[in-house]
Amino acid sequence: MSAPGINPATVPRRAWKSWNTKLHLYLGLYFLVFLWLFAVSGLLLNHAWRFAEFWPQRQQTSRAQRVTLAQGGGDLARAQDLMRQLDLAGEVEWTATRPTLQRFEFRVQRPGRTVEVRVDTEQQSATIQEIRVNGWGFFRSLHTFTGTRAHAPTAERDWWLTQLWSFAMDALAGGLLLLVATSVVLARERRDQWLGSAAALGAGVAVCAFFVFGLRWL
Amino acid sequence: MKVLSSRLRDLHLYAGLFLCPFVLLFAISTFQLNHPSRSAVGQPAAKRSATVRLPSGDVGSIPYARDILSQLGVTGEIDYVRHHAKTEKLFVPVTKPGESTRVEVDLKLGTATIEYEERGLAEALNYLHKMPGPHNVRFRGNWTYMSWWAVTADVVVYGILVLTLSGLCLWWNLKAERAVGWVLVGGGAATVVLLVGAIATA
Repeated sequence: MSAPGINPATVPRRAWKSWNTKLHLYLGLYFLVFLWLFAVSGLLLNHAWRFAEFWPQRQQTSRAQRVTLAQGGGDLARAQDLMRQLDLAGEVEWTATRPTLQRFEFRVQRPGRTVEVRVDTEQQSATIQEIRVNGWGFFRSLHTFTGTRAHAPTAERDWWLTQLWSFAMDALAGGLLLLVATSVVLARERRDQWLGSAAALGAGVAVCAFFVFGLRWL
Repeated sequence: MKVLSSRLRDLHLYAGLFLCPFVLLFAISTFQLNHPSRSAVGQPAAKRSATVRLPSGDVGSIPYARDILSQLGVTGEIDYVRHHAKTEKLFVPVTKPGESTRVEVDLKLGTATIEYEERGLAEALNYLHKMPGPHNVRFRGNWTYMSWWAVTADVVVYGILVLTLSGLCLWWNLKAERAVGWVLVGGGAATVVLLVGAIATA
């Protein structure tokens, strides 16, 4: 039974249109601050603006501390045990190949802070060199803080906050894909503006394709 | 007021549609950069040799390298120029979205080895995502088309900011959605603040 004056054939279509509109709106609102964060940090990465300088203002400190290097376990477990002793938190990155058996070296990375740990295994002492950058440096590195590197794709994220942050990046990317899909559906519904919509989308596709595919022929 | 709202809706619609392919580019490359093992592997490099006429000027400068590249028919963004004075060799890696070329010039013999590698669509998207970026700032945009891309990337970011602001205005006009909207904006903001705060203070 349908309400008088309502064509039953159009009901599912209206419901779909309404859900699509709601999804577009809700996704956009939830990801608003995420999007601002990545948009502004992206601008900072692409422009060496003087007001956002951070490297010349970095703070470097160095200290030495006695440590006990765990005997068993892999390198990651030993590094994490040392981090507990040194009260450090962050993503473990391996430095260049270990120079000698007497040395154990790694880097602890997190936005705004890089710590180099060099352990003399015979003396059981660690040298800790720390670099801290200001808020601009912290903000910029949020954009690129994935815990993985292109030249070491097998490296796994070992800090729970890196895992959470990279998940947030994936969620934002997924949300953007859905926003694009719902916006195309919304544009399709507005039949009175199809020409302008097609022109805008076409222009975007043409410019984007020029950079992605066209530059190979130039 | 109604006219203004209608204009705003049009701006949101058209600007959003124009930016759609760019948003796709950045979103897909985000997945790839976040999970690098899933990126496509490039084709094996093709190698060739050629003789070059050494230009005058500062060896190791962009114009010097560009002169040699034009003789070799190589175009693209020069990543950097490395002059190894001891062995009298010049290394010039050149990149285009989806392609990379390594040129090694023997300044003593006047010969060049050109190694070309096809990197595929996934790498093209990743490259554009990262360009111009924070590294080798004084070199960036040395190929005209990549300087155009730098401008385009800025336009995309500013466009996204305009889209979000116009989207906020359009949401505010929907009185029935205000309460849910506040919850969602607040929820998103709280997620960001908690995550960033935890990373900063952990």
